[in-house]
Amino acid sequence: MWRTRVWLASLSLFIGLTASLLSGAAIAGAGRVPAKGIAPSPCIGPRNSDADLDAIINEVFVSKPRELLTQKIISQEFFDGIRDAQYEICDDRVLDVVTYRRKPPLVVFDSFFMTLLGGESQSLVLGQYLAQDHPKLGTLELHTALMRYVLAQNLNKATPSIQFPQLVQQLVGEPTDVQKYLNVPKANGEIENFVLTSFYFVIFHEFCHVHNGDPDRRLQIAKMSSAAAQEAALVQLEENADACAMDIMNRDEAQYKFSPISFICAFMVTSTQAVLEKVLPPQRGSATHPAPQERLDKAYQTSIAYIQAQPDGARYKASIDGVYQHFADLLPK
Amino acid sequence: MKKYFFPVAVLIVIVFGVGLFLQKHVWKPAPAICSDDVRGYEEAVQSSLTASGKNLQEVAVKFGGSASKTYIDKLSELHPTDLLALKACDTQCKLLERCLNQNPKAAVAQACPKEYADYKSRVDAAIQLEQKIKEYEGATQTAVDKADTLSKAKQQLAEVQSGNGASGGREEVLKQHVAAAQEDLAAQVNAADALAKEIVGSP
Repeated sequence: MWRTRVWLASLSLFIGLTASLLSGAAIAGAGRVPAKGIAPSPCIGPRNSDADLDAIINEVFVSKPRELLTQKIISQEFFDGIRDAQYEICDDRVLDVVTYRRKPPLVVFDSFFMTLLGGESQSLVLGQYLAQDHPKLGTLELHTALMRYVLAQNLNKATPSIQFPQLVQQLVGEPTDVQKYLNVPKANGEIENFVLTSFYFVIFHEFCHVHNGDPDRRLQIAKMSSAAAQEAALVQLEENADACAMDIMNRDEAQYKFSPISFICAFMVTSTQAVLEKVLPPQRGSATHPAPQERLDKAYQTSIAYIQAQPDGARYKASIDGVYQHFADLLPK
Repeated sequence: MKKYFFPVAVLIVIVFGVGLFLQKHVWKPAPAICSDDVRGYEEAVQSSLTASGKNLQEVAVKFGGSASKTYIDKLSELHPTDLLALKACDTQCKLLERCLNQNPKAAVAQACPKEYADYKSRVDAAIQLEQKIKEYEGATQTAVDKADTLSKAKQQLAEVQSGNGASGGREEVLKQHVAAAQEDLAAQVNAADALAKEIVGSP
């Protein structure tokens, strides 16, 4: 998908969460909300205008559910529940994706969050190629360097923006031609696959919330008298959405050649959340997501359960274990 | 003589009647030199105070925080004529007019130089007061705009809290926005209160 390639080439890795204190007519059918088609606008900052990013999200948000319905991977009932969902992409620097309780449902993406996933995808794949030429480097070190940089950007707003080649150069300690790796068709394909799969996980996690009627459930949960019960119920909604998205992705993956990519992408999203945990002030008694470690553990257990049922399970378990350990190490202590 | 009595009486009544008619419908007294001006200041001040009152009511509905409103409340209880600068202007205007009635032919500055000078200085004070109250009205209007910003931020936050977020980042940033907008509005109300203090306290 050339759009992914174009978009990745333009990534500037400034993915800091904003700290500055700033500051409809529904269209039938899934797709991005037209520029003037929604009121009030869900964006805090400006509306994102990157056509390549929009094309990638549109591919997963609009085309993928139709494809999965045709392949009977999702039910007609699931499809009907999400077919009219709309999306919006905002340049908000909130590192978040939110499903709004509107009719039709509205999923709001933060371009910085999606950019971070793109950067992570690139670093995970590129890191493997880099390690072949630089034996002292571990395959996941580039990803670690990226996440540390993002963390530093969020904790210290004065940290400058960085381009991907600069990050690589910092890690390797000498000028490095990143393009050499990116020109390898296999590497490119792997990066694209990673990006799309991570978007797939994020988007279907939100679709699962819509399908499960979670926005309405949250209203019921808000009426619970005990804060602990509320937290437990909200965390359960997230775990269910994670499991639902992973289940769809695995059924999709299983029809071709089974690989653990969906789990790696799930780890990627959860590690992003872990970075946020470090950046955001502690939420007083209003935890709505499982703790990062808990979420990672769940994703790991689910992936192992899937893998063990597959013929190549043993081969993939080692990869899953390594990736699990890597992401677990990234979690703020 | 008796035969002239009746026509003369009728003539007197007619003249009197015509006089009354002219006085009521045709004759106009010479315009007062300053009462219209004074009324103008009073009306302008009243209009600004009314607008400010409405603004502050709108702000109160949207503002949940606390801010100093002592002088805003005091000012809201006052009528324009209670304000010292306008009261003094009105008094000085009456003194000037009384003086001019005693010297109707002379030019104002020559006939009543002291009264006129005093009146002019009171007018300056009234103009300053009017400007200050306009400024106060502007401050309350800004508070309305800030209250709208706060209201929108609260709506955005409420909508995000009733939705499902991936990381809580959006909710957190919107919480910061609400807190900032609340603080901003409180500062604006404090600024309006400081202006009200100047107005209420102005001699």
